[in-house]
Amino acid sequence: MDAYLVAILTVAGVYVVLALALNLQFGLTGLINFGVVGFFGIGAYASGIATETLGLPFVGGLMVAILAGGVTGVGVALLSLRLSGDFLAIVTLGFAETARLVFNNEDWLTGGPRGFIIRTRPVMSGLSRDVTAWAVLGLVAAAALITFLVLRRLADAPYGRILRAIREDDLVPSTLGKNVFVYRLQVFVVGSAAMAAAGSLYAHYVQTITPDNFTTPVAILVWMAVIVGGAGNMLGSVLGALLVTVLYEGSRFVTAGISVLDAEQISALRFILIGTVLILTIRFRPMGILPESQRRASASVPPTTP
Amino acid sequence: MTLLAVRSLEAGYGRTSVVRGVDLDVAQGEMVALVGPNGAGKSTLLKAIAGVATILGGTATLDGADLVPLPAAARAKAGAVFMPQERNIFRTLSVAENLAVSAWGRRDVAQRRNDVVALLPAIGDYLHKRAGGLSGGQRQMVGLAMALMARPKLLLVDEPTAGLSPLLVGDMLDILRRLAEEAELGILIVEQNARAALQRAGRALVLVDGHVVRTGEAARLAEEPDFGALFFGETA
Amino acid sequence: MQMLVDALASAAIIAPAAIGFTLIYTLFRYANFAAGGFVTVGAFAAWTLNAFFGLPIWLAGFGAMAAGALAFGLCDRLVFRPLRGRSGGTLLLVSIALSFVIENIIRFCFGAQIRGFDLPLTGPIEIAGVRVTRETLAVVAASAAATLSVGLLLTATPVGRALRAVADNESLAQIRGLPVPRIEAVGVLIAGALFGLSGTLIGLDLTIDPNLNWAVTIPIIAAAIVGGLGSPLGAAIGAFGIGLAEEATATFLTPTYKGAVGFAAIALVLILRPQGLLGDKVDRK
Repeated sequence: MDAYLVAILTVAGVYVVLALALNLQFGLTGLINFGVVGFFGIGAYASGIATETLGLPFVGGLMVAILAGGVTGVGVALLSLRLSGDFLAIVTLGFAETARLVFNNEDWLTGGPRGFIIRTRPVMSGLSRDVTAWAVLGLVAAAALITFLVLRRLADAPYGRILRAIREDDLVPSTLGKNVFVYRLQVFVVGSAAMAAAGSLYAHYVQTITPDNFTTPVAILVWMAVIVGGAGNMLGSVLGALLVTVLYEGSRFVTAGISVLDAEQISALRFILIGTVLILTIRFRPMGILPESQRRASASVPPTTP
Repeated sequence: MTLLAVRSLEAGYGRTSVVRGVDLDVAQGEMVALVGPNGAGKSTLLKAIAGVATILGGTATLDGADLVPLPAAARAKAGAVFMPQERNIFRTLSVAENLAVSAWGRRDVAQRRNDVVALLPAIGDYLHKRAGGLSGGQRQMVGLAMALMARPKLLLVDEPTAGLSPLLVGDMLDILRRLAEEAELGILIVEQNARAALQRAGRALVLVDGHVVRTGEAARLAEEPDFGALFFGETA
Repeated sequence: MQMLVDALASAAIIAPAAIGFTLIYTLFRYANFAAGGFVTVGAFAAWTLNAFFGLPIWLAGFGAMAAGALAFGLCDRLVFRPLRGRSGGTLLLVSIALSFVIENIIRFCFGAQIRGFDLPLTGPIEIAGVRVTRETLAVVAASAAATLSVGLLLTATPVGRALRAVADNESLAQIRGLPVPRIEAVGVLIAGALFGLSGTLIGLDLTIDPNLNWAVTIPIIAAAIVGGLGSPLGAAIGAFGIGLAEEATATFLTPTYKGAVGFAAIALVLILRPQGLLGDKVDRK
C-alpha cells in the first residue's frame, strides 16, 4: 500500500471522529452545530501550543485540546442552547468565523497565516518514515474506533433514547421531569471536546497548521458525512466520512484529467460537486444511506430528517 | 331557494374519513347550525365544503355548480367563504389592511369595505388599529368582516364564539342571524354553545360520529327530551 | 464624527441585504445563509457589467439587482421550493450548502483574485471637517433609497400588503384567496434584488473576491437579528448598529477583529434577550 493511500486513510479517520461527534450533536440530539471547524481548530492549536510552546508530550497536548474544546463548548452552549435550532446554527457559525480570525491574527500564539509548526509526533520517535505513517494511521484508526464504540453504546442506551426524544420534541421530556437543557449541554460539550480531539490528532499528523485548514469547506464535508451516512446512525457517520473522503480525494484524480482548467477551477469544481451532492441528498434521500433504524427511534414519531 | 346542497358527503384528512355520508341543504337567507359532541366531525364537514379538508365521496353544489373539483380559493370566489375558528386574522396588519387583502384582485376594495362597515358598524371604531392588539370579540368581528369582503353567498363559520365571554356569544350569534336575514346570506355555522345557536338558527343538524342523527327546525330540536343525551354520543 | 460617517457607510452596504434576509425569514421562517452568496453574485455581476463591458456603475448596479433576483429566483425554484414544509434547520443547512456551491461557481468563473470596479477617480470631499468620498455618498444614497422603496412597497401597495399577510399567516392567506405562491415569488425576487444591490455597494466601497460570501453573511444576519427579524426598518436600524460597532472596534480596539463584531453582536442580543428576538418557538411552524 503506498504512502498516498495511508495519508488518505489517516485524514478519513480524522473525519470519522468529526462526523461521529457531529452525529451525536445533530443526528441524535438535533443540535445544529455549524461551528465544527471552530472546535476542530481550537483542538489543533491548543494541542500544538501545549506540545511546542509548553513542551508537553503528545498525550498532554491531546488532553489540553479536549479540555479547550470542552470549555469553549460550554461557553458557546450557554449562549445559545436554550434557543431554537436556527439560533444555535447562527451562533456556532459566527463562533467558527471568530475562532479563525483569532488563529489568523494572534501571531505570537498561533503563528498566524504563516502557519504553526508542530514537531511532536503522536508516536515514538526514531522510526522510519513509512513506519511512522502507519503508526499514525493506526492511532487515528484506534481513536475513530473508540469514538464509534462509545457513541454507539451511548446511542443505544436509555440516555440515547432521551436524546432522541429531545430531538423530536423537547417539550415531552421536560414534562417528564428531564432537564432538557442539561442534556443538550452535555451532548454539545462532549461533541465539541471530541471535535477538538480530532483537531489534536490532525495537527500532530500534518505537523503544520494554518488558519486555512479550518474553514467552511471542512465543515461542509463533515456535515455531508453525517447527512449522507444517515443522521442518527453512528455506523452511517463512519461510512459517510469514508465516502466523503473518497469522493473528495477521488474527484482530485477525475478533475486532474481536465487539462483546460487551472488549479483554482478544479478545486472550485470539486466543491461545487460536494455541495450539490449534499443538497440532492437532503432533497431525495433525507434519511441517508443508512437510515436510523425505526426500532431505535422513539416509537410514535418518525425519526428526524435533516 | 336552495343555495348549498350536500349529498352523501364523505370527508376527512388524508384517507381517514371523519364525515360519513351527510346530506344537508342551506337556503339563501337561512342560518343553519351544526351541533353535536366534540369530535363528531362538524368542523371537518365545514372545512370539506370550504375546500380545506378532503372530500372523499359524495357531492356538494353551490347554486347548482359543483364545488368538489375546485380548490379552496376557487370555492371562495364561487361564493362559499370560510371563516376559520383560530388564527382567522392577520395580526400584524391593521384592520383596514386585513379587509383590503381579503378582497385581493378586486377593483372595488373601497366600496366593499364601506359595505362591510355598514353591515358591521362596530368595525369602524378600530379600523386603523393593529388587528393583533384587539380584544377577542373585536378580533372575531374582524375575522367575520374579512369573510364578508369576498361578498359571499354562503358563509361557513367555524365556532365564531370560541373563547368569547357568554355575553359576547349571544351578540355574535345575533349578528350572524341578522346577516342572514338582511344580507340574504346562507350561513352554515358550527357552534359549541348549542342552545344559544339553536335559539338563533332557522334549522339545525345534530352530527354524531360523522352521521346526521337529527335534523329539523332549530328551536324544536332544542326542546326534544333526549337532546342533551345526544351530546354524549348516545344515538337514538 | 468621522466614525459615525464610516459606520453609516458600512451600514448602508449591509442594510439592503439585511432587509432581504428579514423578508425571506418572515415569509418562509428559515434563516437563509445563502444571502452572502447572492450578494457575491451581485458584486460579480456589477463588476462584469462595469469593468468588463464598460457600463456606467449605476446601470451595472441595476444589472446586479436583476442578476441577484434571477439567481435567487432560480435557486428558490430549484432548491428551496421543493423543500417547503421541511424544518427550519433543514432549510438552513441547505442554504449553507447552496452558498458554498454559489461561491465556488463564482470562483470557477472568475478565479480567486481580488477585483475592483472601474470607477472614475475622485478625491474625497470635506463637509464640516469630515472626509467623505463620493462613493460613500453614493452608497448611502442608494441604500437609503432602496430601504425607503421597500418600506413604501410593503406598507402602501396591495402587493406589499399581501406579502405581509402571507408572512403573517400563510394558511389564512390561502383561505382568503391570495395567490400565495405568486406572492412568495415576488418576495423572493425583491430579496434577490436587495442582495444584488448590497453586492454592488460593496464593490463601490471596497474590492471584491469570492470569499466575500462568508465575510458578509454574518454581519447581514447579525443586522437582521439585532433589528428584530420583523420589519425592513428594523433591519436597517440593525445594520446601522452593526456598522457602528464595527467601526468602533476598528477605531478603538483593532481593525483585525472587525469581522468578529457580528458574532459579538448576536451573542450580546442573546444575553440581553435570552428568549431570542426571533420570536417564540411556539408560534413557529
